[in-house]
Amino acid sequence: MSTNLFGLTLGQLRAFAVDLGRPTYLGNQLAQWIYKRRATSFEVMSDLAVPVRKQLQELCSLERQEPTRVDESRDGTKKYLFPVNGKFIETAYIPETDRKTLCVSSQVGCKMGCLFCMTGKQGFQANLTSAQILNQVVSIAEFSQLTNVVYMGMGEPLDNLDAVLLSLEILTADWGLGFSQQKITVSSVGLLPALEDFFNRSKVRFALSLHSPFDEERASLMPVQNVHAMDDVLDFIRNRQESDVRRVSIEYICFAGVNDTPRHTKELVRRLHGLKTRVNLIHFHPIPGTPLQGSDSSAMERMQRELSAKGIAATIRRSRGEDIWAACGLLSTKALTVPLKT
Amino acid sequence: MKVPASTKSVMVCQNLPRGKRGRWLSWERDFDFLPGQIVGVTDDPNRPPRWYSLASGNKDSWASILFTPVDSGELSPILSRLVPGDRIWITPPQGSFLDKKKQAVWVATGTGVAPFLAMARSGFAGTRVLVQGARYLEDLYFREEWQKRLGKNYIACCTREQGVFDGRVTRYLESQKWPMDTHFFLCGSSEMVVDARDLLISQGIPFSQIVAEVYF
Ligand SMILES: Cc1cc2nc3c(=O)[nH]c(=O)nc-3n(C[C@H](O)[C@H](O)[C@H](O)COP(=O)(O)OP(=O)(O)OC[C@H]3O[C@@H](n4cnc5c(N)ncnc54)[C@H](O)[C@@H]3O)c2cc1C
Ligand code: SF4
Repeated sequence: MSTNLFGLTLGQLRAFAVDLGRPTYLGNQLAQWIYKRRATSFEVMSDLAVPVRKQLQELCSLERQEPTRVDESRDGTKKYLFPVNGKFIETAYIPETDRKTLCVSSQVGCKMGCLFCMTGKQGFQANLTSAQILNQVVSIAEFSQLTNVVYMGMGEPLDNLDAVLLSLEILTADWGLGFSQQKITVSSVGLLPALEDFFNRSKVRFALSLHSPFDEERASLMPVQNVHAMDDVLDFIRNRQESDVRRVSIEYICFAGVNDTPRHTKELVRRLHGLKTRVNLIHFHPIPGTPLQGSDSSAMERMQRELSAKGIAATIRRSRGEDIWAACGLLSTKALTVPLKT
Repeated sequence: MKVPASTKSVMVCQNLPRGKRGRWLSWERDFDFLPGQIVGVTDDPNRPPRWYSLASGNKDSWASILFTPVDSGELSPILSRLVPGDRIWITPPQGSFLDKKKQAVWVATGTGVAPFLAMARSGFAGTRVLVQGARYLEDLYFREEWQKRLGKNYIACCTREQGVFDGRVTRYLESQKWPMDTHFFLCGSSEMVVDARDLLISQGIPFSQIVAEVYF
Protein backbone atom coordinates (compact mmCIF):
# COMPACT_ATOMS: atom_id res chain seq x y z
CA MET A 1 0.00 0.00 0.00
CA SER A 2 1.44 3.37 -0.90
CA THR A 3 2.00 5.97 1.83
CA ASN A 4 0.05 9.18 1.47
CA LEU A 5 2.56 11.97 2.07
CA PHE A 6 -0.12 14.65 2.22
CA GLY A 7 -0.95 15.09 5.91
CA LEU A 8 2.53 14.19 7.18
CA THR A 9 4.46 16.71 9.27
CA LEU A 10 7.99 17.86 8.45
CA GLY A 11 9.35 15.47 11.09
CA GLN A 12 7.41 12.58 9.59
CA LEU A 13 8.50 13.50 6.05
CA ARG A 14 12.15 13.60 7.13
CA ALA A 15 11.85 10.24 8.86
CA PHE A 16 10.21 8.88 5.73
CA ALA A 17 13.07 10.19 3.58
CA VAL A 18 15.58 8.39 5.81
CA ASP A 19 13.51 5.19 5.55
CA LEU A 20 13.84 5.47 1.78
CA GLY A 21 17.62 5.69 2.16
CA ARG A 22 17.63 9.37 1.18
CA PRO A 23 18.99 12.38 3.09
CA THR A 24 16.69 14.05 5.66
CA TYR A 25 16.75 17.13 3.48
CA LEU A 26 14.40 15.38 1.06
CA GLY A 27 11.76 15.73 3.79
CA ASN A 28 12.19 19.54 3.70
CA GLN A 29 11.87 19.57 -0.08
CA LEU A 30 8.74 17.44 0.06
CA ALA A 31 7.16 19.74 2.67
CA GLN A 32 7.87 22.71 0.38
CA TRP A 33 6.25 21.00 -2.57
CA ILE A 34 3.27 19.54 -0.76
CA TYR A 35 2.28 22.47 1.45
CA LYS A 36 3.83 25.60 -0.01
CA ARG A 37 3.37 24.80 -3.67
CA ARG A 38 0.49 22.39 -3.17
CA ALA A 39 1.85 19.88 -5.63
CA THR A 40 -0.50 17.01 -6.41
CA SER A 41 2.01 14.86 -8.29
CA PHE A 42 5.69 13.99 -7.96
CA GLU A 43 6.42 14.83 -11.62
CA VAL A 44 6.26 18.56 -10.94
CA MET A 45 8.92 18.37 -8.18
CA SER A 46 11.58 19.68 -10.53
CA ASP A 47 14.36 20.06 -7.95
CA LEU A 48 14.26 16.35 -7.09
CA ALA A 49 16.48 14.02 -9.11
CA VAL A 50 14.59 11.82 -11.56
CA PRO A 51 15.38 8.53 -9.69
CA VAL A 52 14.05 10.09 -6.46
CA ARG A 53 10.83 11.13 -8.14
CA LYS A 54 10.49 7.67 -9.63
CA GLN A 55 10.98 6.05 -6.24
CA LEU A 56 8.40 8.36 -4.71
CA GLN A 57 5.94 7.60 -7.49
CA GLU A 58 6.34 3.89 -6.87
CA LEU A 59 6.01 4.00 -3.11
CA CYS A 60 3.90 7.00 -2.21
CA SER A 61 0.93 9.10 -3.16
CA LEU A 62 -0.29 12.65 -2.64
CA GLU A 63 -3.94 11.85 -2.12
CA ARG A 64 -6.35 14.70 -2.07
CA GLN A 65 -10.10 14.52 -2.33
CA GLU A 66 -12.13 17.14 -4.15
CA PRO A 67 -15.54 17.98 -2.66
CA THR A 68 -18.32 16.13 -4.44
CA ARG A 69 -20.98 18.70 -3.72
CA VAL A 70 -21.22 22.40 -2.87
CA ASP A 71 -24.34 24.17 -1.60
CA GLU A 72 -24.37 27.94 -1.54
CA SER A 73 -26.47 30.00 0.83
CA ARG A 74 -28.20 33.29 0.05
CA ASP A 75 -25.69 34.91 2.41
CA GLY A 76 -22.65 33.55 0.54
CA THR A 77 -21.90 30.73 3.00
CA LYS A 78 -20.93 27.50 1.25
CA LYS A 79 -21.26 23.94 2.48
CA TYR A 80 -18.87 21.40 1.00
CA LEU A 81 -19.40 17.66 1.06
CA PHE A 82 -16.31 15.44 1.09
CA PRO A 83 -16.31 11.64 0.82
CA VAL A 84 -13.99 9.88 3.28
CA ASN A 85 -13.59 6.10 2.98
CA GLY A 86 -17.18 5.56 1.89
CA LYS A 87 -18.56 8.02 4.46
CA PHE A 88 -19.08 11.75 4.24
CA ILE A 89 -18.19 14.93 6.09
CA GLU A 90 -19.24 18.52 5.68
CA THR A 91 -17.22 21.72 5.81
CA ALA A 92 -18.60 25.25 5.95
CA TYR A 93 -17.00 28.27 4.28
CA ILE A 94 -18.19 31.54 5.82
CA PRO A 95 -17.19 34.73 4.02
CA GLU A 96 -17.49 38.06 5.83
CA THR A 97 -16.15 41.46 4.85
CA ASP A 98 -13.14 41.37 7.17
CA ARG A 99 -12.48 37.62 7.29
CA LYS A 100 -13.08 34.36 5.45
CA THR A 101 -13.52 31.47 7.85
CA LEU A 102 -13.50 27.75 7.20
CA CYS A 103 -15.26 25.50 9.70
CA VAL A 104 -13.68 22.04 9.46
CA SER A 105 -14.81 18.63 10.72
CA SER A 106 -12.59 16.38 12.83
CA GLN A 107 -14.73 13.20 12.89
CA VAL A 108 -17.44 11.54 10.84
CA GLY A 109 -20.34 11.93 13.26
CA CYS A 110 -19.71 12.39 16.97
CA LYS A 111 -20.00 10.40 20.20
CA MET A 112 -20.88 13.29 22.51
CA GLY A 113 -24.65 13.24 21.98
CA CYS A 114 -25.38 16.94 22.59
CA LEU A 115 -29.15 17.47 22.57
CA PHE A 116 -29.08 20.45 20.20
CA CYS A 117 -26.80 19.08 17.51
CA MET A 118 -27.49 17.30 14.22
CA THR A 119 -24.04 15.72 14.15
CA GLY A 120 -24.69 14.24 17.58
CA LYS A 121 -27.84 12.59 16.22
CA GLN A 122 -25.78 10.80 13.61
CA GLY A 123 -23.72 8.84 16.15
CA PHE A 124 -20.03 8.14 15.56
CA GLN A 125 -18.68 6.62 12.36
CA ALA A 126 -14.94 7.38 12.22
CA ASN A 127 -12.05 9.57 13.21
CA LEU A 128 -10.53 11.70 10.44
CA THR A 129 -6.81 11.51 9.73
CA SER A 130 -4.69 14.67 9.65
CA ALA A 131 -4.77 14.40 5.84
CA GLN A 132 -8.58 14.27 5.80
CA ILE A 133 -8.77 17.31 8.09
CA LEU A 134 -6.28 19.33 6.02
CA ASN A 135 -7.85 18.22 2.77
CA GLN A 136 -10.93 20.26 3.71
CA VAL A 137 -8.72 23.37 3.84
CA VAL A 138 -6.68 22.94 0.67
CA SER A 139 -9.30 21.41 -1.61
CA ILE A 140 -11.79 24.24 -1.75
CA ALA A 141 -11.77 26.94 -4.38
CA GLU A 142 -11.47 29.66 -1.72
CA PHE A 143 -8.29 28.26 -0.13
CA SER A 144 -6.12 31.26 -0.98
CA GLN A 145 -8.66 33.68 0.51
CA LEU A 146 -9.00 31.91 3.85
CA THR A 147 -8.04 33.97 6.89
CA ASN A 148 -9.36 31.79 9.73
CA VAL A 149 -9.89 28.11 10.38
CA VAL A 150 -12.17 26.89 13.16
CA TYR A 151 -12.51 23.29 14.31
CA MET A 152 -16.25 23.57 14.92
CA GLY A 153 -17.65 21.27 12.25
CA MET A 154 -18.63 17.65 12.73
CA GLY A 155 -17.08 15.85 15.68
CA GLU A 156 -15.33 16.57 18.95
CA PRO A 157 -11.72 17.57 18.15
CA LEU A 158 -10.33 16.47 21.52
CA ASP A 159 -11.78 12.99 20.95
CA ASN A 160 -9.44 12.72 17.96
CA LEU A 161 -6.58 14.68 19.43
CA ASP A 162 -3.57 13.09 17.72
CA ALA A 163 -4.88 13.75 14.21
CA VAL A 164 -6.05 17.23 15.18
CA LEU A 165 -2.64 18.13 16.61
CA LEU A 166 -0.85 16.88 13.49
CA SER A 167 -3.20 18.93 11.31
CA LEU A 168 -2.61 22.02 13.48
CA GLU A 169 1.16 21.62 13.19
CA ILE A 170 0.93 21.52 9.41
CA LEU A 171 -1.61 24.34 9.27
CA THR A 172 0.51 26.72 11.35
CA ALA A 173 4.13 25.80 10.53
CA ASP A 174 6.32 28.04 8.37
CA TRP A 175 7.15 24.94 6.31
CA GLY A 176 3.43 24.10 6.17
CA LEU A 177 0.40 26.18 5.30
CA GLY A 178 1.63 29.12 7.37
CA PHE A 179 -1.58 30.19 9.12
CA SER A 180 -1.13 32.33 12.22
CA GLN A 181 -1.88 30.51 15.49
CA GLN A 182 -4.11 33.50 16.30
CA LYS A 183 -6.34 32.67 13.34
CA ILE A 184 -7.15 29.12 14.35
CA THR A 185 -9.65 28.05 16.97
CA VAL A 186 -10.35 24.58 18.28
CA SER A 187 -13.71 24.19 19.94
CA SER A 188 -14.50 21.46 22.46
CA VAL A 189 -17.02 20.35 25.04
CA GLY A 190 -14.03 20.05 27.40
CA LEU A 191 -12.52 16.56 27.62
CA LEU A 192 -9.95 16.04 30.34
CA PRO A 193 -7.08 15.08 30.30
CA ALA A 194 -7.05 15.56 26.49
CA LEU A 195 -7.49 19.32 27.03
CA GLU A 196 -4.25 19.42 28.99
CA ASP A 197 -2.46 17.64 26.16
CA PHE A 198 -3.94 20.12 23.70
CA PHE A 199 -2.71 23.10 25.73
CA ASN A 200 0.74 21.53 26.09
CA ARG A 201 1.14 20.71 22.44
CA SER A 202 -0.43 23.63 20.56
CA LYS A 203 -0.78 27.39 20.84
CA VAL A 204 -3.93 27.95 18.82
CA ARG A 205 -7.03 29.52 20.31
CA PHE A 206 -9.54 27.53 22.29
CA ALA A 207 -13.33 27.77 22.56
CA LEU A 208 -15.22 25.90 25.26
CA SER A 209 -18.82 24.89 24.51
CA LEU A 210 -20.59 25.72 27.74
CA HIS A 211 -24.27 26.38 26.91
CA SER A 212 -25.43 26.47 30.54
CA PRO A 213 -23.82 27.60 33.80
CA PHE A 214 -25.82 25.12 35.92
CA ASP A 215 -24.47 21.57 36.25
CA GLU A 216 -27.73 19.66 35.96
CA GLU A 217 -29.11 21.86 33.22
CA ARG A 218 -25.88 21.58 31.27
CA ALA A 219 -25.95 17.80 31.70
CA SER A 220 -29.41 17.62 30.15
CA LEU A 221 -28.05 19.48 27.11
CA MET A 222 -24.61 17.90 27.04
CA PRO A 223 -24.08 14.43 28.58
CA VAL A 224 -20.32 15.10 28.82
CA GLN A 225 -21.05 17.24 31.87
CA ASN A 226 -21.69 14.02 33.82
CA VAL A 227 -18.15 12.88 33.01
CA HIS A 228 -16.13 16.11 33.08
CA ALA A 229 -17.73 18.75 35.28
CA MET A 230 -17.50 22.25 33.82
CA ASP A 231 -15.88 23.50 37.04
CA ASP A 232 -12.96 21.10 36.55
CA VAL A 233 -12.55 22.31 32.97
CA LEU A 234 -12.83 26.00 33.92
CA ASP A 235 -10.39 25.52 36.83
CA PHE A 236 -7.92 23.91 34.48
CA ILE A 237 -8.15 26.83 32.04
CA ARG A 238 -7.94 29.40 34.85
CA ASN A 239 -4.72 27.80 36.12
CA ARG A 240 -3.26 27.62 32.64
CA GLN A 241 -3.99 31.28 32.00
CA GLU A 242 -1.35 32.18 34.60
CA SER A 243 1.25 31.29 31.98
CA ASP A 244 -0.68 30.78 28.74
CA VAL A 245 -1.75 33.82 26.76
CA ARG A 246 -3.84 32.20 24.03
CA ARG A 247 -7.37 33.50 23.64
CA VAL A 248 -10.07 31.38 25.24
CA SER A 249 -13.70 32.00 24.43
CA ILE A 250 -16.93 30.53 25.70
CA GLU A 251 -19.51 29.28 23.20
CA TYR A 252 -23.04 29.71 24.40
CA ILE A 253 -26.00 28.75 22.20
CA CYS A 254 -29.09 30.58 23.45
CA PHE A 255 -32.24 28.49 24.01
CA ALA A 256 -35.47 30.31 24.81
CA GLY A 257 -36.41 29.95 28.47
CA VAL A 258 -33.79 27.24 28.97
CA ASN A 259 -30.49 29.09 29.41
CA ASP A 260 -31.20 32.74 28.55
CA THR A 261 -32.74 34.14 31.74
CA PRO A 262 -31.15 36.70 34.11
CA ARG A 263 -30.62 33.80 36.55
CA HIS A 264 -28.42 32.14 33.93
CA THR A 265 -26.44 35.30 33.19
CA LYS A 266 -25.82 35.82 36.89
CA GLU A 267 -24.56 32.26 37.35
CA LEU A 268 -22.51 32.47 34.17
CA VAL A 269 -20.74 35.54 35.52
CA ARG A 270 -20.03 33.70 38.76
CA ARG A 271 -18.67 30.63 36.98
CA LEU A 272 -16.44 32.65 34.70
CA HIS A 273 -14.96 34.68 37.55
CA GLY A 274 -11.19 35.03 37.24
CA LEU A 275 -11.15 33.72 33.68
CA LYS A 276 -9.82 35.88 30.85
CA THR A 277 -12.43 35.15 28.27
CA ARG A 278 -15.15 36.44 26.03
CA VAL A 279 -18.56 34.89 25.48
CA ASN A 280 -19.97 34.18 22.03
CA LEU A 281 -23.74 34.13 22.20
CA ILE A 282 -24.94 31.98 19.30
CA HIS A 283 -28.33 31.76 17.61
CA PHE A 284 -29.87 28.29 17.79
CA HIS A 285 -31.16 26.70 14.60
CA PRO A 286 -33.89 24.23 15.53
CA ILE A 287 -33.24 20.70 14.32
CA PRO A 288 -35.96 18.12 13.58
CA GLY A 289 -37.75 16.83 16.68
CA THR A 290 -35.93 19.16 19.06
CA PRO A 291 -37.67 20.29 22.25
CA LEU A 292 -35.54 23.47 22.14
CA GLN A 293 -36.33 26.86 20.64
CA GLY A 294 -33.84 29.59 19.84
CA SER A 295 -33.87 32.72 22.03
CA ASP A 296 -35.11 35.83 20.34
CA SER A 297 -32.75 38.70 19.62
CA SER A 298 -33.98 40.78 22.54
CA ALA A 299 -33.15 38.02 25.07
CA MET A 300 -29.70 37.62 23.53
CA GLU A 301 -29.08 41.35 23.56
CA ARG A 302 -30.15 41.47 27.19
CA MET A 303 -27.67 38.71 28.05
CA GLN A 304 -24.99 40.55 26.15
CA ARG A 305 -25.68 43.76 28.12
CA GLU A 306 -25.75 41.93 31.46
CA LEU A 307 -22.45 40.20 30.75
CA SER A 308 -20.81 43.41 29.52
CA ALA A 309 -22.00 45.25 32.64
CA LYS A 310 -20.07 42.66 34.67
CA GLY A 311 -16.93 43.16 32.62
CA ILE A 312 -17.30 40.10 30.37
CA ALA A 313 -17.05 40.91 26.68
CA ALA A 314 -19.88 39.22 24.83
CA THR A 315 -20.65 39.11 21.14
CA ILE A 316 -23.72 37.84 19.36
CA ARG A 317 -22.67 35.61 16.51
CA ARG A 318 -24.61 36.29 13.37
CA SER A 319 -26.45 33.34 11.91
CA ARG A 320 -24.90 32.10 8.67
CA GLY A 321 -25.85 29.49 6.09
CA GLU A 322 -29.09 28.46 7.78
CA ASP A 323 -30.89 27.86 4.48
CA ILE A 324 -28.33 25.25 3.38
CA TRP A 325 -28.01 23.61 6.83
CA ALA A 326 -24.47 24.88 7.21
CA ALA A 327 -25.11 26.89 10.38
CA CYS A 328 -23.79 25.97 13.79
CA GLY A 329 -25.01 22.55 14.95
CA LEU A 330 -26.67 21.67 11.64
CA LEU A 331 -23.92 19.67 9.92
CA SER A 332 -24.88 16.05 9.38
CA THR A 333 -24.23 13.35 6.82
CA LYS A 334 -26.46 10.79 8.52
CA ALA A 335 -28.68 10.34 5.49
CA LEU A 336 -25.60 9.49 3.43
CA THR A 337 -23.84 7.14 5.83
CA VAL A 338 -26.39 5.36 7.95
CA PRO A 339 -29.44 3.65 6.49
CA LEU A 340 -32.49 5.42 7.88
CA LYS A 341 -34.42 3.29 10.35
CA THR A 342 -37.94 2.44 9.41
CA MET B 1 3.72 10.57 32.60
CA LYS B 2 0.35 11.05 30.93
CA VAL B 3 -1.89 10.08 33.82
CA PRO B 4 -2.92 12.78 36.34
CA ALA B 5 -0.76 13.00 39.49
CA SER B 6 -3.70 11.77 41.56
CA THR B 7 -3.63 8.42 39.71
CA LYS B 8 -2.43 5.44 41.73
CA SER B 9 -1.26 1.94 41.04
CA VAL B 10 -3.38 -0.97 42.31
CA MET B 11 -3.16 -4.74 42.02
CA VAL B 12 -5.69 -6.73 40.00
CA CYS B 13 -7.53 -9.33 42.18
CA GLN B 14 -9.79 -10.86 39.55
CA ASN B 15 -10.41 -10.75 35.81
CA LEU B 16 -13.31 -13.03 34.87
CA PRO B 17 -15.18 -13.57 31.61
CA ARG B 18 -18.82 -12.44 31.52
CA GLY B 19 -21.17 -13.31 28.67
CA LYS B 20 -19.82 -13.68 25.14
CA ARG B 21 -17.07 -11.06 25.35
CA GLY B 22 -17.46 -9.17 28.62
CA ARG B 23 -14.89 -9.02 31.43
CA TRP B 24 -15.28 -8.32 35.14
CA LEU B 25 -12.07 -6.75 36.44
CA SER B 26 -11.57 -6.13 40.16
CA TRP B 27 -9.03 -4.66 42.55
CA GLU B 28 -9.08 -3.91 46.26
CA ARG B 29 -11.21 -0.89 47.08
CA ASP B 30 -9.60 1.70 49.35
CA PHE B 31 -11.63 4.71 48.25
CA ASP B 32 -15.20 5.93 48.58
CA PHE B 33 -17.39 6.57 45.57
CA LEU B 34 -20.94 7.38 44.66
CA PRO B 35 -22.68 4.68 42.62
CA GLY B 36 -22.83 5.90 39.03
CA GLN B 37 -19.30 7.36 39.12
CA ILE B 38 -16.47 6.39 36.80
CA VAL B 39 -12.74 5.79 37.15
CA GLY B 40 -9.97 6.27 34.63
CA VAL B 41 -8.01 3.05 34.10
CA THR B 42 -4.77 2.35 32.29
CA ASP B 43 -2.09 -0.35 32.32
CA ASP B 44 0.77 2.12 31.88
CA PRO B 45 1.25 5.62 33.30
CA ASN B 46 2.32 6.75 29.82
CA ARG B 47 -0.96 5.72 28.25
CA PRO B 48 -3.91 8.08 28.81
CA PRO B 49 -6.56 6.40 30.96
CA ARG B 50 -9.90 5.25 29.53
CA TRP B 51 -13.09 5.74 31.53
CA TYR B 52 -15.08 2.90 33.06
CA SER B 53 -18.16 2.96 35.27
CA LEU B 54 -17.62 1.41 38.66
CA ALA B 55 -19.94 -1.61 38.64
CA SER B 56 -19.51 -2.87 42.20
CA GLY B 57 -21.42 -1.72 45.28
CA ASN B 58 -19.94 1.19 47.18
CA LYS B 59 -19.50 -0.94 50.33
CA ASP B 60 -17.99 -3.97 48.56
CA SER B 61 -14.41 -4.77 49.49
CA TRP B 62 -13.39 -4.92 45.84
CA ALA B 63 -13.95 -2.26 43.20
CA SER B 64 -14.94 -3.71 39.83
CA ILE B 65 -15.54 -2.64 36.26
CA LEU B 66 -17.47 -4.43 33.54
CA PHE B 67 -16.02 -3.99 30.06
CA THR B 68 -15.90 -5.48 26.59
CA PRO B 69 -12.64 -5.33 24.65
CA VAL B 70 -12.86 -3.20 21.49
CA ASP B 71 -11.15 -5.14 18.64
CA SER B 72 -8.98 -2.30 17.37
CA GLY B 73 -8.76 -0.73 20.83
CA GLU B 74 -5.52 0.30 22.45
CA LEU B 75 -6.28 -0.41 26.09
CA SER B 76 -9.29 -2.71 26.45
CA PRO B 77 -7.63 -5.80 24.81
CA ILE B 78 -4.72 -5.33 27.23
CA LEU B 79 -7.10 -5.10 30.18
CA SER B 80 -8.82 -8.30 29.09
CA ARG B 81 -5.50 -10.19 29.34
CA LEU B 82 -4.62 -9.04 32.86
CA VAL B 83 -4.26 -11.70 35.55
CA PRO B 84 -4.45 -11.43 39.34
CA GLY B 85 -1.27 -9.83 40.63
CA ASP B 86 -0.84 -7.50 37.59
CA ARG B 87 -0.89 -3.79 38.29
CA ILE B 88 -3.12 -1.13 36.77
CA TRP B 89 -3.36 2.62 37.29
CA ILE B 90 -6.62 4.18 38.35
CA THR B 91 -7.76 7.77 38.79
CA PRO B 92 -9.90 8.84 41.73
CA PRO B 93 -13.62 8.33 41.05
CA GLN B 94 -15.40 11.20 39.33
CA GLY B 95 -18.59 12.02 37.50
CA SER B 96 -22.15 12.94 38.28
CA PHE B 97 -24.32 10.29 36.65
CA LEU B 98 -26.12 9.90 39.95
CA ASP B 99 -29.71 8.84 40.50
CA LYS B 100 -31.01 11.00 43.34
CA LYS B 101 -34.65 10.50 42.39
CA LYS B 102 -37.17 8.43 44.36
CA GLN B 103 -38.39 6.64 41.27
CA ALA B 104 -36.78 6.26 37.88
CA VAL B 105 -36.42 4.13 34.79
CA TRP B 106 -32.90 2.95 34.02
CA VAL B 107 -32.09 2.13 30.39
CA ALA B 108 -28.88 0.38 29.41
CA THR B 109 -27.31 -1.51 26.56
CA GLY B 110 -24.19 -3.67 26.74
CA THR B 111 -21.77 -2.68 29.49
CA GLY B 112 -23.88 0.45 30.01
CA VAL B 113 -25.61 -1.54 32.72
CA ALA B 114 -22.51 -1.13 34.94
CA PRO B 115 -23.48 2.07 36.80
CA PHE B 116 -26.94 0.66 37.50
CA LEU B 117 -25.38 -2.47 38.94
CA ALA B 118 -23.30 -0.25 41.23
CA MET B 119 -26.48 1.59 42.24
CA ALA B 120 -28.41 -1.64 42.85
CA ARG B 121 -25.56 -3.25 44.79
CA SER B 122 -25.28 -0.07 46.87
CA GLY B 123 -28.94 -0.37 47.85
CA PHE B 124 -30.53 2.12 45.48
CA ALA B 125 -32.64 -0.17 43.29
CA GLY B 126 -35.89 0.09 45.27
CA THR B 127 -38.79 -0.07 42.85
CA ARG B 128 -36.87 1.27 39.91
CA VAL B 129 -37.36 -0.19 36.45
CA LEU B 130 -34.42 -1.46 34.40
CA VAL B 131 -34.74 -1.82 30.64
CA GLN B 132 -31.64 -3.75 29.54
CA GLY B 133 -30.71 -4.45 25.95
CA ALA B 134 -28.19 -6.68 24.19
CA ARG B 135 -27.81 -8.53 20.92
CA TYR B 136 -27.46 -11.94 22.60
CA LEU B 137 -29.09 -13.26 25.77
CA GLU B 138 -25.63 -14.04 27.17
CA ASP B 139 -24.74 -10.35 27.02
CA LEU B 140 -27.64 -9.30 29.21
CA TYR B 141 -25.09 -8.88 31.97
CA PHE B 142 -26.23 -10.09 35.43
CA ARG B 143 -29.68 -11.02 34.12
CA GLU B 144 -30.42 -13.47 36.94
CA GLU B 145 -29.41 -10.94 39.56
CA TRP B 146 -31.66 -8.32 37.95
CA GLN B 147 -34.56 -10.74 37.82
CA LYS B 148 -34.12 -11.44 41.54
CA ARG B 149 -33.66 -7.81 42.53
CA LEU B 150 -36.30 -6.16 40.36
CA GLY B 151 -38.79 -8.89 39.48
CA LYS B 152 -41.33 -7.55 36.98
CA ASN B 153 -39.55 -4.21 36.98
CA TYR B 154 -36.76 -5.84 35.01
CA ILE B 155 -37.25 -5.85 31.24
CA ALA B 156 -34.70 -7.65 29.11
CA CYS B 157 -34.62 -6.83 25.38
CA CYS B 158 -32.74 -8.82 22.80
CA THR B 159 -32.34 -8.23 19.08
CA ARG B 160 -30.83 -11.55 17.91
CA GLU B 161 -32.29 -14.21 20.22
CA GLN B 162 -35.76 -15.10 21.46
CA GLY B 163 -37.13 -15.51 24.97
CA VAL B 164 -37.28 -11.92 26.17
CA PHE B 165 -38.72 -8.72 24.68
CA ASP B 166 -37.92 -8.99 20.98
CA GLY B 167 -36.15 -5.84 19.77
CA ARG B 168 -34.11 -2.87 20.84
CA VAL B 169 -34.62 -1.02 24.11
CA THR B 170 -36.00 1.88 22.08
CA ARG B 171 -38.73 -0.39 20.74
CA TYR B 172 -39.68 -1.33 24.28
CA LEU B 173 -39.69 2.31 25.39
CA GLU B 174 -41.88 3.15 22.41
CA SER B 175 -44.36 0.42 23.31
CA GLN B 176 -45.05 1.88 26.76
CA LYS B 177 -47.11 4.81 27.97
CA TRP B 178 -44.87 6.53 30.50
CA PRO B 179 -46.28 8.94 33.08
CA MET B 180 -45.01 12.39 32.08
CA ASP B 181 -43.18 12.89 35.37
CA THR B 182 -41.01 9.77 34.92
CA HIS B 183 -37.26 10.33 35.22
CA PHE B 184 -35.01 8.34 32.89
CA PHE B 185 -31.34 7.44 33.22
CA LEU B 186 -29.75 6.25 29.98
CA CYS B 187 -26.33 4.64 29.72
CA GLY B 188 -24.44 3.10 26.80
CA SER B 189 -23.35 4.01 23.29
CA SER B 190 -24.15 7.45 21.90
CA GLU B 191 -26.40 5.84 19.28
CA MET B 192 -28.62 4.22 21.92
CA VAL B 193 -28.64 7.30 24.14
CA VAL B 194 -29.53 9.65 21.28
CA ASP B 195 -32.23 7.33 19.87
CA ALA B 196 -33.80 6.66 23.28
CA ARG B 197 -33.70 10.33 24.22
CA ASP B 198 -35.31 11.39 20.92
CA LEU B 199 -37.99 8.80 21.35
CA LEU B 200 -38.85 9.79 24.92
CA ILE B 201 -38.92 13.45 23.92
CA SER B 202 -41.26 12.61 21.06
CA GLN B 203 -43.52 10.95 23.64
CA GLY B 204 -43.65 14.22 25.58
CA ILE B 205 -41.12 13.51 28.34
CA PRO B 206 -39.36 16.79 29.21
CA PHE B 207 -35.67 16.62 28.31
CA SER B 208 -34.76 17.85 31.78
CA GLN B 209 -36.01 14.49 33.11
CA ILE B 210 -33.59 12.52 30.93
CA VAL B 211 -30.08 12.05 32.28
CA ALA B 212 -27.53 10.38 30.04
CA GLU B 213 -24.10 8.80 30.35
CA VAL B 214 -22.50 8.30 26.96
CA TYR B 215 -19.65 5.79 26.60
CA PHE B 216 -17.70 7.92 24.14
C1 LIG C 1 -18.01 7.98 30.82
C2 LIG C 1 -17.55 6.70 30.18
C3 LIG C 1 -17.75 5.49 30.81
C4 LIG C 1 -17.36 4.31 30.19
N1 LIG C 1 -17.60 3.13 30.84
C5 LIG C 1 -17.32 1.98 30.21
C6 LIG C 1 -17.63 0.72 30.86
O1 LIG C 1 -18.12 0.69 32.00
N2 LIG C 1 -17.36 -0.43 30.19
C7 LIG C 1 -16.81 -0.40 28.92
O2 LIG C 1 -16.61 -1.48 28.34
N3 LIG C 1 -16.48 0.76 28.32
C8 LIG C 1 -16.71 1.94 28.93
N4 LIG C 1 -16.37 3.13 28.31
C9 LIG C 1 -15.59 3.08 27.04
C10 LIG C 1 -14.09 2.99 27.40
O3 LIG C 1 -13.68 4.18 28.05
C11 LIG C 1 -13.17 2.84 26.17
O4 LIG C 1 -13.49 3.79 25.22
C12 LIG C 1 -13.25 1.46 25.54
O5 LIG C 1 -12.92 0.45 26.48
C13 LIG C 1 -12.27 1.37 24.35
O6 LIG C 1 -10.98 1.67 24.80
P1 LIG C 1 -9.72 1.24 23.92
O7 LIG C 1 -8.51 1.91 24.48
O8 LIG C 1 -9.64 -0.23 23.84
O9 LIG C 1 -10.07 1.79 22.50
P2 LIG C 1 -9.44 3.08 21.77
O10 LIG C 1 -8.04 2.79 21.39
O11 LIG C 1 -9.66 4.26 22.64
O12 LIG C 1 -10.37 3.14 20.50
C14 LIG C 1 -10.23 2.14 19.51
C15 LIG C 1 -10.97 2.43 18.26
O13 LIG C 1 -12.33 2.21 18.49
C16 LIG C 1 -13.05 3.36 18.11
N5 LIG C 1 -14.11 3.53 19.07
C17 LIG C 1 -13.97 3.81 20.37
N6 LIG C 1 -15.19 3.95 20.91
C18 LIG C 1 -16.08 3.75 19.92
C19 LIG C 1 -17.48 3.79 19.85
N7 LIG C 1 -18.22 4.07 20.90
N8 LIG C 1 -18.07 3.53 18.65
C20 LIG C 1 -17.34 3.23 17.57
N9 LIG C 1 -16.00 3.20 17.59
C21 LIG C 1 -15.39 3.47 18.74
C22 LIG C 1 -12.08 4.52 18.21
O14 LIG C 1 -12.42 5.59 17.37
C23 LIG C 1 -10.81 3.87 17.79
O15 LIG C 1 -10.67 3.86 16.40
C24 LIG C 1 -16.74 4.33 28.92
C25 LIG C 1 -16.49 5.56 28.31
C26 LIG C 1 -16.88 6.73 28.91
C27 LIG C 1 -16.62 8.05 28.26
S1 SF4 D 1 -22.06 19.88 19.50
FE1 SF4 D 1 -20.02 19.16 18.93
S2 SF4 D 1 -19.51 17.72 20.59
FE2 SF4 D 1 -21.73 18.03 20.70
S3 SF4 D 1 -22.60 16.35 19.47
FE3 SF4 D 1 -22.35 18.14 18.10
S4 SF4 D 1 -20.38 17.84 17.13
FE4 SF4 D 1 -20.42 16.52 18.93
